[in-house]
Amino acid sequence: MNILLDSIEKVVGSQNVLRGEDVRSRTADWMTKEPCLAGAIVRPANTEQLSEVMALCYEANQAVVTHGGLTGLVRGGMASSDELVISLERMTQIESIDCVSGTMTVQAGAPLQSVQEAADQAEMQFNLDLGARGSCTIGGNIATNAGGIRVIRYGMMRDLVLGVEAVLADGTVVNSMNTMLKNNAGYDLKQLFIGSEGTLGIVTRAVLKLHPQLTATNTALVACEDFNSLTGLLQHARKSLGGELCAFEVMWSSYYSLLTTESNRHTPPISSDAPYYVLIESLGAEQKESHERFEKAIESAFEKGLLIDAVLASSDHQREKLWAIREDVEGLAHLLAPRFAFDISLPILEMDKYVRKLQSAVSQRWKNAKVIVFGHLGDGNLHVSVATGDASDETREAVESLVYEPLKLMGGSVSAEHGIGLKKRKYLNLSRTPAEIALMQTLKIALDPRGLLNRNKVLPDILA
Amino acid sequence: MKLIVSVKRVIDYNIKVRVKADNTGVDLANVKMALNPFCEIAVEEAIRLKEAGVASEVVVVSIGPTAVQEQLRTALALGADRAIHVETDELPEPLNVAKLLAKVIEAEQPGLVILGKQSIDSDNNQVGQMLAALAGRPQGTFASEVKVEGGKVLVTREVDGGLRTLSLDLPAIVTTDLRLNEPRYAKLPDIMKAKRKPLDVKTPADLGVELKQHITQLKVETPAQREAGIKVDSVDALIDKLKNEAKVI
Repeated sequence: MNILLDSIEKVVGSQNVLRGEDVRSRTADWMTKEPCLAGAIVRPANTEQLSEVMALCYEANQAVVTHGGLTGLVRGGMASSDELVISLERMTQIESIDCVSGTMTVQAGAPLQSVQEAADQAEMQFNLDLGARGSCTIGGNIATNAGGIRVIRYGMMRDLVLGVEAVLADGTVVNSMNTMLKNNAGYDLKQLFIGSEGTLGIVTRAVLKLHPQLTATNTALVACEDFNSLTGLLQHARKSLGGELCAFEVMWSSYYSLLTTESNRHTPPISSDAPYYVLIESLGAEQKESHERFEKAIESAFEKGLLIDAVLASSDHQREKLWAIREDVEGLAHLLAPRFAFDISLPILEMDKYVRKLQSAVSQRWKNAKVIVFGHLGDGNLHVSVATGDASDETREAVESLVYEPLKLMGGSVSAEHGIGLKKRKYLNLSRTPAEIALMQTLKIALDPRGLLNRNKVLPDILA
Repeated sequence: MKLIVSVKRVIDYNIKVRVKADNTGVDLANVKMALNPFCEIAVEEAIRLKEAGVASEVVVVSIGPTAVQEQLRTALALGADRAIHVETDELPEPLNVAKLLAKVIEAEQPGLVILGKQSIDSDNNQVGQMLAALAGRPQGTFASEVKVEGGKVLVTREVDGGLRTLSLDLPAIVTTDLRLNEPRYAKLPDIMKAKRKPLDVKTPADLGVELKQHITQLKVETPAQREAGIKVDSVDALIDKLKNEAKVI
């Protein structure tokens, strides 16, 4: 590896090849805070440098792991001592913004928040948003097809990317920087790199889709009496808000009371004895009109009995405090440690039954275990945390099978938005058919024949 | 005891303001507006005094165009009993506000008037003090704690390096500081009820006040943009820049 690193130094400069303590002092996983074990960290400044680096790695059969903001939740950034980390931390430029076409061209290492802020400056809006916005990067968002809190209105990352530039395992630069909404000339190659978690290529630049800036936000936290009201409320909100609905985030009572009354981390805006809580947000163009529509929608839901209590944020500060309850993943991790966290999707109508069954199965096996659930109900996506009091591999496997097995029957997915990474590899077959997995493997072999990119992640081992 | 709280409609404090191109003011077109945070604290304190049985009625007052009724409704939803809207075309300057409020007080005879110490848009911090002078009542400004006991109001004020507690004879004027309390959220059933609570509209003429302009705003500017930093390649270059360009050594 040392000879290779010397040649790489000539491409990126010696200060951009980190070794030894400089590598170990970085963490590889946001959740566990484990040190990075990679042989070295390479920090190219642009696509050309990365292309040269990859050509050298290809020649030397050197496996690499790509790093963005390291906020992933499936251990996709883990690297062993015989792997190199390619970090895009120097590739953070926002190259151009076109307000007429509604596009922004950026380098893949740009943090999501800086992209959102650049769009704001131009009086436009980039509509991917998630709790990790300050650290996660556009490249990581693309590689994992990130979701977040506005999917119900604007879709996942895939819906917000028009073009991609990627470097393949052998250093080839694939420039697919399409800027048009419509382009049906042949295969849509960018899709190969969106959601493939860095296993088919390294995303270096992207053309993102922007929307006009909307500033009229209205936010409410509501309590529902039963699951039917919850789904009724979702339908009601979609219809009565006329397309302005942009978040419908559900917290099961276990989540809400844990983070408010039980831990005192947040003052509960409404009492914590209801079974379900929903954070509803609308986003519109006109402050007054949008506010009136929102208030009317919530009032009529109350009159129809779809909700039993609600508070409306009367300022942006109150809005932030309501969101802070929903986004307090750190609090959740701290209060439940050790816990196993899952990100599943399933048909909305099956959710309540699924959660009840899981709760009873878990408590039968571990008496004092906790099952804490919240999620993007409108997207069919639940985040489930199970804390049994220990973190052994044996318990992990037992919990995983309780969480994942029932999904297969109902056509759910073991990963709604976090991806597969290392963590869920062996459960891929619960959500994908053998033919699908075989086709994925064909693609992998075609694009990365030497298996250098994010080795051993996402796909099961290829049988020779 | 009756309480009067005055509130102001201001730009939401989390919103990044934009100065109009001609520098005549801040662009308010389609911008999110809210209760001035200090006024929100004043409303909360009044409601708490009512909940504690100290006050029997909370009357909320705002001065300005029709749109301020939105904030009056918010205050009613939070728990105020009725509202008075003094309708003016624009937001009058502090002395005029104080004169209008003095007239309202003369008519309503409250035991205690609670105001925010200042509004976050004009940052004047004048109305409470002017009102105390015009109404001839004692004032306790920047309150971080308010207690009503035996015909007096005890006001704890945050001063540099400590706390200072005053006892004021009622009726009195109190202005609120940020740490007095944490305002509640407006609950849906209360928002619905608030729509039916009484809201009287009065004009300055009804109150016998003639609005006189003493202050003219000349211009509003954004802070000067800070220049981006540069990287130097050696200590010598750094010393040279500090000495000859920044002139700090």
